[in-house]
Amino acid sequence: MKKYTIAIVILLWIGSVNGQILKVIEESNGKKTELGTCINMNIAEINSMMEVYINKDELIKRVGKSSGMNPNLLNKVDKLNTLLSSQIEILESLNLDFSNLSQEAKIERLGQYSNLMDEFYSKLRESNNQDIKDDVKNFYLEYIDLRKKSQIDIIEFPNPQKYAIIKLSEESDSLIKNIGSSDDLQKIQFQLLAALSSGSGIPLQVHVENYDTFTEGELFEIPRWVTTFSDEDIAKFEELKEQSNYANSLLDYDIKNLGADLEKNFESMYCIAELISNIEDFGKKPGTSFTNPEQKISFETVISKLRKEYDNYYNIFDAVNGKNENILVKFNNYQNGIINVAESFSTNIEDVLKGQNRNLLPTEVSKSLEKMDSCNIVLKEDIENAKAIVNIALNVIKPFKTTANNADQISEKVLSFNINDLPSIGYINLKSIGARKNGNQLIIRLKKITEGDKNNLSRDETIEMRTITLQQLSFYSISKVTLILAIPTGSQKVELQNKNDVQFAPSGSLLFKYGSRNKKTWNFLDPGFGFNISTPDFNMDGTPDVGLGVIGTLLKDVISFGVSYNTTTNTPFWFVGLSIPVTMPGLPINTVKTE
Amino acid sequence: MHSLEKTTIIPDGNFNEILELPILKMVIIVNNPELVEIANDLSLYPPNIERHVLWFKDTSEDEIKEIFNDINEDYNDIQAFSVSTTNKVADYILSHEIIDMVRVDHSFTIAGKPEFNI
Repeated sequence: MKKYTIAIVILLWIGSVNGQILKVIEESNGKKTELGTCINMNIAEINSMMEVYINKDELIKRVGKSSGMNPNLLNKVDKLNTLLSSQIEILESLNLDFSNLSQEAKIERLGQYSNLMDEFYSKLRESNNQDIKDDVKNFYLEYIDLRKKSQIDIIEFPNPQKYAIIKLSEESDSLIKNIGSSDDLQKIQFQLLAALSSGSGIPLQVHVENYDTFTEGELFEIPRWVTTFSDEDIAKFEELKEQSNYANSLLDYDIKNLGADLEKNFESMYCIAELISNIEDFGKKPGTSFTNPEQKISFETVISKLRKEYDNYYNIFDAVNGKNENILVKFNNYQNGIINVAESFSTNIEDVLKGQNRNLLPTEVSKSLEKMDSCNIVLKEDIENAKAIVNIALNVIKPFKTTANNADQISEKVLSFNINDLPSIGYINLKSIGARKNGNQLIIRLKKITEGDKNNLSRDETIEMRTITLQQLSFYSISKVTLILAIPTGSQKVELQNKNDVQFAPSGSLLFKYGSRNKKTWNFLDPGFGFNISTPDFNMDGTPDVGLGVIGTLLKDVISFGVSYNTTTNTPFWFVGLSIPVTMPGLPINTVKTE
Repeated sequence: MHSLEKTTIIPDGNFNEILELPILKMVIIVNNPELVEIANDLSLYPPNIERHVLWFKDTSEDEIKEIFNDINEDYNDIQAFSVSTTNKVADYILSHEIIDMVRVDHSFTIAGKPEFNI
């Protein structure tokens, strides 16, 4: 019986959260914290285990109301819920043992109980609650009768007040069960889904134990204290070395040369241009004569077609040569324009060559056209090279596409339940949901799926959604590899040999941070402070110098700034860094072929 | 009427003995056995603090006001009133009110509120 009461109390406790259906409890280091309350915001420790409770009573009420089911029963349930809003506190105060308390403590506890019970009676005595008031009177009479006959457990029910309140709770429960077993509600299916959103791309579906068949992922705990650089950091640092070289070359690079460089990289262009010029020269040579008019017509036709195709192809480089365009716009032009035009050019050249009866042409021209076949092979190689460059950029998008595909596949494994079979609790182990970062959001949704009839398709509707931000809480440290722009300073200022007097360099930092459970703005600003090591090359001897300094970061390390000391040149420098993931476009500047 | 185990009927009983106890009391000043029985039943199994009923079966306004000098309702309109652990009058059950267990227990409850037990 005692267990029964405890179960009721827990059930009531679960149902007491402002009419919410979903309740999320985070468990971290053996401590349980309810999320989304007035004390705790929806911020969860990134390595925690989560318990997601579904309050079925609230769910039945919500769905019942929205579907217009059993209005009289729902009305009574509402009245009971209003009356019993403080039932947990009342039951707790009724369970207190007064026997060993001082008189002062007794009076204090009596006051707490009386305030709560006064509120209960004041509501009960309102005119619209007459039916429930009659119930309470009957419960009191029933209790006194049972008690006098010694037919009641007096430890469990020491007074009529507790007996009546528990009976009212049971009545509410019973009414909800009646609504829940109605045919209308049985036709509705429910799903609980969770997804991880990084703020971009399609959210990744997350396994919720008891609610889907998706296999749990490999356990991965975000370390709280990072004191060394990981292999990934080191690999990224190497990558940044290349990027800083590239960026430093940009500091001196004249952007006007871009178009010319592109041309140089397309070796095939010169091959074809030279052949077309040779053929045209042949036609213009004073001594050239054609054996018959058909041969002249064939010659003029083929050279006209080749020239037209070549000019179309060449014009795309002019487009890339626009003087005031952003370098990324030029890259887009390069990617979208040149490859398409080049592929089209190659095909058209082939068509011209195939469609031409070479026997009708002068021998010199026929030989030149044979060389044109070789040029076209080189052109195809150039196109493949260009595609490879573009693919580098496209690979950046690939993980998002994979994520989206995975999400689509996994969504089929989400289970649907009717109200009776719907589990009351689900578990999400954040350690097993894969890569995640501070600020990522866990979105938990409860959906209802209404069966369609002959004329209507099934409909699904989100009943309640909770968004929980994942965050490393309290103090922690991370490693960060970024590209910095070093600005030498001080009386010993080093004179860099480029015209901008600044230099890009790769750097690694160990940053200390603090994650808050309740301060979203703090987490958004996400300040960090720590140690920075960088490798500029102030003396330009091709060997990296070593810079040691301190760094401050803001906005999830997107902005960083600091002061450092070049231990090789013995000069101090300021630096700023931007950690926005920039993939260098791989333009042919670094890959110009030299003869 | 069944036995009134937790009711002191005055003038026979000694109400001073009860008033000295730091418990909640219901003072009934009319001849209404039904009310007395309900109050008695609700005193038998009290939540937290003991309760007792004082039934002044045959009394006068002066006598009651001498004992409970903080009555501020028209004496003729009162059937009963609840008294705190410190003997402050807390709530009046008036003549026109329908008597039932809810009403009487509410009255006992009000007597337990902090403002009446200082």
